[in-house]
Amino acid sequence: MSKFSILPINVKYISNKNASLPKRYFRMKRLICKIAVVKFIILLFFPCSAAFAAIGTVKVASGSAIVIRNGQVLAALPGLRIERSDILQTGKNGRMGITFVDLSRFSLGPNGRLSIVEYLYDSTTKRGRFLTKMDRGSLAAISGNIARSDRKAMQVRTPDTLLGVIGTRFLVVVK
Amino acid sequence: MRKVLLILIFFLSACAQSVIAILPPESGQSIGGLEILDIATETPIVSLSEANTQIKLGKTRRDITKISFYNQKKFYDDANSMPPAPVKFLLYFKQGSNDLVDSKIIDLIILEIGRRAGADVEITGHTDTAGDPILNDLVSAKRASNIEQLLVNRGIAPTIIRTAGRGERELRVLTDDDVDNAENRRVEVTIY
Repeated sequence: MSKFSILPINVKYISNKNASLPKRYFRMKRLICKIAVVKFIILLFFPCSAAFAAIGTVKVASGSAIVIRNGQVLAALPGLRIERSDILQTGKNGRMGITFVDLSRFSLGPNGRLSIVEYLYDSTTKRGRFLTKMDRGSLAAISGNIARSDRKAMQVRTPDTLLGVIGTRFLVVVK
Repeated sequence: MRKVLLILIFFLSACAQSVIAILPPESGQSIGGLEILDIATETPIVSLSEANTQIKLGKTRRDITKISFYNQKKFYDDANSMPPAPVKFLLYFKQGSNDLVDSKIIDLIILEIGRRAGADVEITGHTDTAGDPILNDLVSAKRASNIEQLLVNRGIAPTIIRTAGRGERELRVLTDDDVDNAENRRVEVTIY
């Protein structure tokens, strides 16, 4: 039942926000099912040419730069694919540059730690959702198609704030 | 000892803060900005769209101080692991065929891919407004996969290529519905 594969992520997201709204929850669930069926049909016609899970690629790396995926540590070298829920981490002299599939570009400075909380992107409609959590360090960013599609679509969370990204070039430093 | 700890905790919590800076957009893009959102409701508290400003956020989210003019040059120091900007190539087709108007462009594309570390290629097909919009989605996807095949035949790894068809959603020349237009029948190859 691959057409229901997107359900767990979305249901979790909705139930967190609207725990007290069961009616709305079920209506949304039905809507998500419909979207899932449509997506499934589209996928039959448009087989994806690249690995489905990849949401970006490491383009620049220097010093100590790693990607943590499901508890495993991977060396961040140019060409390494970034996946949903990866954690990007740099050491004292480490740096990392990533371009995401919606053409957002991130540059993570030394002593940085950034988690990808949510990344959804549809290259046909150029819409999606991009949520990252910045724990420490500095992030220089140039937003891409996701932020352009909707002013609520891209967010950066820091330990004490939530930033909505409208665009396009900005810097976040968490001390 | 406890006093020292308390002072230390106070000092550390006072230090835990974020600084954000907003820069003018890259050429050809509209000015953006950032919004500071309420964590629970995600509604904007403050909207920041003034370019070249640096803002310090205090413990309470409403505590915002503009601390200085932010120098664009400094951005490039802070961002010195920023990946290079994507490059876009436009490919046009001879009328009623899958033959390229200028096939030399494929050489330029291959050269650009070779120049970049960890390159990715995004191929997006487009159509004009002639015909059914849903069918045009399929036509544009086919156009994109034809170009993908061309690149793969020239030795580009299929794993770095992604294709998409955008149908008639993104016209290069704005026309009415059901209009033949050579400039709209195109494939965009973005290398990033």
